[in-house]
Amino acid sequence: MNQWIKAKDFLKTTFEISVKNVTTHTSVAASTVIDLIEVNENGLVLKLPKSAGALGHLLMIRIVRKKEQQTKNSTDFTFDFTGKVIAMDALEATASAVSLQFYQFNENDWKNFLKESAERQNSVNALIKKVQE
Amino acid sequence: MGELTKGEQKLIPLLKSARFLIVDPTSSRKSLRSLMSDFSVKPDQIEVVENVPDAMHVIEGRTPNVFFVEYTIGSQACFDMIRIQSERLEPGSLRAVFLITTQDSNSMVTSAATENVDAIIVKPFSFGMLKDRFCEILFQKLAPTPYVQALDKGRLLLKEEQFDEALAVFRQARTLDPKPSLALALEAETFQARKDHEEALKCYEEALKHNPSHFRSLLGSFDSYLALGKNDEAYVSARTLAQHHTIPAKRIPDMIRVSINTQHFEDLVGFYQTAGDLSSMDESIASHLGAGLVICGLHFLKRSNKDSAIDAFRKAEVASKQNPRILMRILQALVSAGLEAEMKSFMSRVPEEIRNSPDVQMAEIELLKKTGQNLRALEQSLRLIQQGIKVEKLYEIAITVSIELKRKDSLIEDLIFKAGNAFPDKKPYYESLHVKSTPPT
Repeated sequence: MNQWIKAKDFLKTTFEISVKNVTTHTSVAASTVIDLIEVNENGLVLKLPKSAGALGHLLMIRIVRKKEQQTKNSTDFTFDFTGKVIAMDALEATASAVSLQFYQFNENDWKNFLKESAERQNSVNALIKKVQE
Repeated sequence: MGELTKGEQKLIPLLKSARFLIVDPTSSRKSLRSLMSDFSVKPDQIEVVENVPDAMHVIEGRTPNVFFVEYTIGSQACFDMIRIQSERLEPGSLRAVFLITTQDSNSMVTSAATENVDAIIVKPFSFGMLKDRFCEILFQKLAPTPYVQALDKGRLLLKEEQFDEALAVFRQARTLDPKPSLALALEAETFQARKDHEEALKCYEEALKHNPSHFRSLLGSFDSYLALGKNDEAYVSARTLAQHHTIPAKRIPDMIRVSINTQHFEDLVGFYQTAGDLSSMDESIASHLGAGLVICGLHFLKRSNKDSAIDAFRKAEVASKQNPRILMRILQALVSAGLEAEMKSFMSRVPEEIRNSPDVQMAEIELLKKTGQNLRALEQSLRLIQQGIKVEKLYEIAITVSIELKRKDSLIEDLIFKAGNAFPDKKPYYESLHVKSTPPT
């Protein structure tokens, strides 16, 4: 039946990120501060608590991409990697934008992740165009 | 400076005098600053703020031409700032809005698109994606096609309420595109601004011939039909809209209302079922759905379909997350229908603070009276009066029930005295209750 709302209209993507500092052997507590900002072919930029690490440290990261609001056929995607901290920019009192360069990672998984990110952006672009044209 | 293509470099001189605002409570400012730097935007052209009050201060002072805003700041705040930016910018000046978010639901994107957001940058983004989207939008703004130019000119005239001039421009714009649905929809909106909904509908109809699922025309014709009181036609437009698009969150209450007006109560049940599959829903939508289901229940009650009514009330209770206003409405409906057993079962589910509220206790007293349990009605009324609760109806019930139970005249007079003190303007009415009921000697 044609409904006013459809569950798929509320489907949204979320990322669960867990971080362990391999250099200092410490885990970074799960926090709302952690955010995935930017991606590139050889690494990514995360917002992390300042205590997460320092330049040159190796971080072991797990990113789980989830589709929220989906009750059935949930398609989680997990990407594990180790990355080296190559830049840190203070964002606020407790957090930094941490640029990581991949140290150990599965190239195909990362390519899929990038492809999916681009597809998400493209589908959003198409939807805006459809509404505004 | 990062590498720019020759085409991208053309934006540099065009952005020289533009003002930029980045509202970033979280994390994207570094990438956005790099992007600005690539286009030779000077630091004094960029303001970076972290919260809504600071952003509002900038928008109301040096209103930005290009506005980047993180959605985490709150949807309403985002859309309010975008509206103010649009109102304050000089007519014809550059205006671009980029919303940055991890959220990518169709519902959010459609809502943003209807609030004049030009682009949504989905996190995590690559710098290339950010730059491409930035360039695409800025080129559209700074070097528009003749069709877009004409539409912008017409929009400006419409904003200035120069309706005849706007209509002429939109009509001319029709000739500049093979499928001019947008020009026709804007022409229709000009008629709507003049409250000429019949003419508006003609334009929408024409626009839909070019594109049968044209978002703006379906939503616009829905509005015009509603304005003309043509609920059935409005319902058809809304249904077509829902078939092809996501309904923007803020318009969902209108859809609920039109379902009720056209007695499509099954829509609300369907809505409820879908909402139940979602882990969260906007509070105002949930509240509208709850209110709609109450009306649905009332409709079933009118038709003596008690089971369906109770089912609708239960759904309303769940959908609205026991919103006190909705609970009261349900209670009143149960009282009016004299459904005592259902009311008792309902009362056992409602939270204690609501159960003990004067409104709910009043409803209980009314039901007791309605079902002939006068003594209990009187006891509860007197208890509330003793607690200092002042409700007109409460005194009325206490007095009439006292008379019916043939209580001593002195006690009734005392009640009338108290009622008159609580509501001096109603004193004659309270006195008349006793006079009327006194049998002639």
